[in-house]
This record gives sequence, C-alpha cells and structure tokens, in this order.
Amino acid sequence: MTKEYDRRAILSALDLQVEAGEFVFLTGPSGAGKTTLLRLLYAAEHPTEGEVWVAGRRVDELSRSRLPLLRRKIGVIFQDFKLLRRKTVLENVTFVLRIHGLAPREAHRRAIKVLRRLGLQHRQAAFPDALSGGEQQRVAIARALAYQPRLILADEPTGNLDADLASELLSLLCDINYQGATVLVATHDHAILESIPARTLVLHEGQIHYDGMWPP
Amino acid sequence: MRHAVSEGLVVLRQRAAVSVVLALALAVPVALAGVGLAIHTWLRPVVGLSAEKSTVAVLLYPHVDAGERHRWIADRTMEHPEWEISEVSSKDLAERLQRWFPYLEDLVNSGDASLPPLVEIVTEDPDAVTVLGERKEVLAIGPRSSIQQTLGRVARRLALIVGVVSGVLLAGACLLAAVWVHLELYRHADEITIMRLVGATEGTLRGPFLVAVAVPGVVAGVLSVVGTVVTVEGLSRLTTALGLSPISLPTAVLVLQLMGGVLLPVSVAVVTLARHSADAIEN
Repeated sequence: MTKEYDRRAILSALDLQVEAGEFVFLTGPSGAGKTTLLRLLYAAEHPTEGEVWVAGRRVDELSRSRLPLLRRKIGVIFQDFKLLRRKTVLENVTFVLRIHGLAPREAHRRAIKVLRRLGLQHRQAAFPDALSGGEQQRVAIARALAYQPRLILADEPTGNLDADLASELLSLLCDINYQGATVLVATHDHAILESIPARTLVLHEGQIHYDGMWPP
Repeated sequence: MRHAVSEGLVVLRQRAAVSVVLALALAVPVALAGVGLAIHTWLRPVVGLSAEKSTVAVLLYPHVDAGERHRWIADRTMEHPEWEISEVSSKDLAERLQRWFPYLEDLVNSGDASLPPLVEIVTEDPDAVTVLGERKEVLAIGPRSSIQQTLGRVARRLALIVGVVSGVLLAGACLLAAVWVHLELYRHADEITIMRLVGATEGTLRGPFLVAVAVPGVVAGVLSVVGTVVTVEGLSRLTTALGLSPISLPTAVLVLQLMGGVLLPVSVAVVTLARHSADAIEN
C-alpha cells in the first residue's frame, strides 16, 4: 500500500504481512512512516493506493458504522496518550470498558486490576493534567490493555518511561502476546529492540529496509 | 444511555445560562402557537364563514326583457366561468328584492307588476362583482359581504399573523439550538476524536448532546403549557365578561406543545450532529 500527503509518499508500495500472535517491532528514524502505518491499521487514515487488512477485514473500505467494531478489537497506545481530560484515571479506563459493553461493576473491577498492574492504583482519582508524562503514558497503556484486545498497536510506548518502567511494560506486552494477542510496537529506541528477541521491521523513507530478527 | 444522561447533564451544568435561554426561546413561540391555536379553534365558525361562497344580487333595469336577460347571463357566464349566475324567478322576486334591497320595500308592497329583474351571482370573490356596475343594463348591485364574513377575514388574518410570528420565533430558537450543538461539538472535538479512536459508536457520541438539548426542550414544553393555560384562562374571562362564549383549550394543543418543545430541539440536534462530518471532527 502507498500513503501520500500532498503528493509526497510517506509509505511507498509497502507490502507487509503480520501473522496473528506475532510480536513485531517497527523502527526507523523520525518521519519514516511508523505512526502513519499504525494509523492506517486502526483506520484513522486511508491509503492512497492499495489495501489494509486487519483480522480478516479490509479496513480501508469499512463503513463508518462498522469502524467502532474494528477499533474495539485493537488496543492502541498513542504517542500523545489521548486521554480524556475531564475524566479521572479510573474513568478513562472504565469508559472504554463500558463502550465494550461491560457492566459498570465489572468495568470498575477490571479497570482497578489493570491500574494496579501498572502501579497506578493510588492515582485512580486524579485527572490526566495532574499526572506526570510517565503516569499519563501508563494510563494510556492501561486503557489499551484493559479490554484484552486481539491486536495491540503501541506508538513509542516507552517514550516517557524510565528504564525500569519501560522494561516492565515490555514484559507486560510479552505476557499479553504470550496469551495470543498480536503486538506491534513502533519505537526508535534501540535498547528496547535488543531487550526482546522479536521480528523487527526497519522503515526508511516509507519503505521496509529490513525485516527479520534484531540485531541483524 | 447512562453515559448519555450523565455526560449530557455535565454539558448542561457547564452551559447552564445557554440552556435557560434555549428553554425560554423555545417556550415563548410554542406558548404563542398554543394560544393562537386555541383562539383559532374558538373563532373557527367565524373563520369558516369567510371561506364560504357568497351570493351577490344584481338588479337590472326593468326595460331589459327576458331575451336580453338570457343573453346577458350567457355573456357574463362566458366572461366569468367561476361565477354561478341565475335569474330569480318571478315567484321569489318580491321576497328577494326586499332581502337584498330593503329600500325597495315600498315598491314591492305597492303591488306594481313591473318589478325590476334580479339575478344572483354565487362567487368566492364577491368584490369582483362590482365590475358589473359599469354595465348599462345594471341598475344596482347588492351588498357584497356580511359582518360575519368581515369578522372571519379578520380572524383568518389574525391566525396567520400568530402563525407567522410563532414560526419566525421557533425558527430562531431552532437556530439557537443548532448553533449551540455546533459550538459544543467543536468544544468537545478532542474528546470526540479520542472516543471514536477507542471504539465509541456514533450513538455513544451523540447521546450526551441529545440529552443536553432534550432537557431544555422538556422545560420549554412545560413552561409553554403553563403559559398557554394562564393566557387562555385570562382571555376566556375577558370574552365571557363581554358576553361571548368562553375560549376552550383543547387537550391536543397541550400535548402538541409538550411534544413540540422536546422534539423540535432534538430534531435540530439530530440534523446538526448528522451534518457534522466525522472527518471534520477527527481532523
């Protein structure tokens, strides 16, 4: 598939397949197209040419009414967190669970569980603006993991975390992957790439320059 | 539903002043329309009269003989196919002449056999018959409208004016609701984007805004009902004091007001939300 902005190719004739249950790192310099590729996968963007398939569905042709169903299968950890400012940490997580049809009590129980796992239980009543960057990132991660999605797309998930928390997060993602979820992590942090042996895609100027285990 | 109600109430709390203005802006025209409907119902018998066909009598000169009269009637029918023209028979002539032209009573009572011939024209536009006054065969034209018809026309115009004023005010209130929803959508654009990205349906996103306009709508409906009942009660006392029949307020009008108060802003919100393209919000 190809994605262009103002006739400038961000992703150029990209041909990529990720199998269910895989753990894949996506790396490359800034502007290589990592975030754009993730946005194409959760249908926030449409390709200029070509097709995007997720979980057996062609997402670039999904109608607006079907889009929420696709997005409920995907847990996205956004680079800029995208937390609801008017909701508390707990509400940010329970809101998503309620969207997924969980009863209020079950949503609350599961949100507490995932917040505890990410060390945020003492911050559950705080609003996002009162949190540090690392804490906000962990809330975003908690929200993405809370409903146990089949596909996790993480855009620079360790960008605001210290080494210990980053390692803990990767271990968490590995656990989830071990339980069957597909995980795609976009990062430019080589230390992370070397911490877990996994398939790594190197994007450069919108094309895949390397596809294999890291280090090459 | 719970999310829609709780978030809708949050929007209402944040925009309490606008909500009150919206409720009042809706209540006034809905109440006015209710009062207008009650008065229109009260005046309906009179209003109906103005819409009925009228009969206008045309008195011809006595020298116009039967043959000329038949030709004259045929010619006028050709010129005005919308008129129903008939000659009054000699049997009814005396009675009709007294009815249409009371000042001819002495002539009629004198027993003179040569009474002037009379034709009657049934038409929806009695004023148009005045054109016949210029014809040499015509001696006089009878009255063209009764007091009831005049009253009916006034009542119809009154109902029209009340309808137009209510319509304009309602359109203004709907515009206010649309602008409010539009501004709130932009104010919450980031949240809406995030909610969409985490899988919220359009129903989840729109629910709070619908609740936020439905609540002022309910308040407007109740206020308009109270306003209408009080106003009609006052007017009814006035008409009774003047010796006229009291004005009744049909229950259907009150139900319509309640429904209108809620459905109008909600419909406007539904249209505004639908028009607000998801792409524009997601930016």
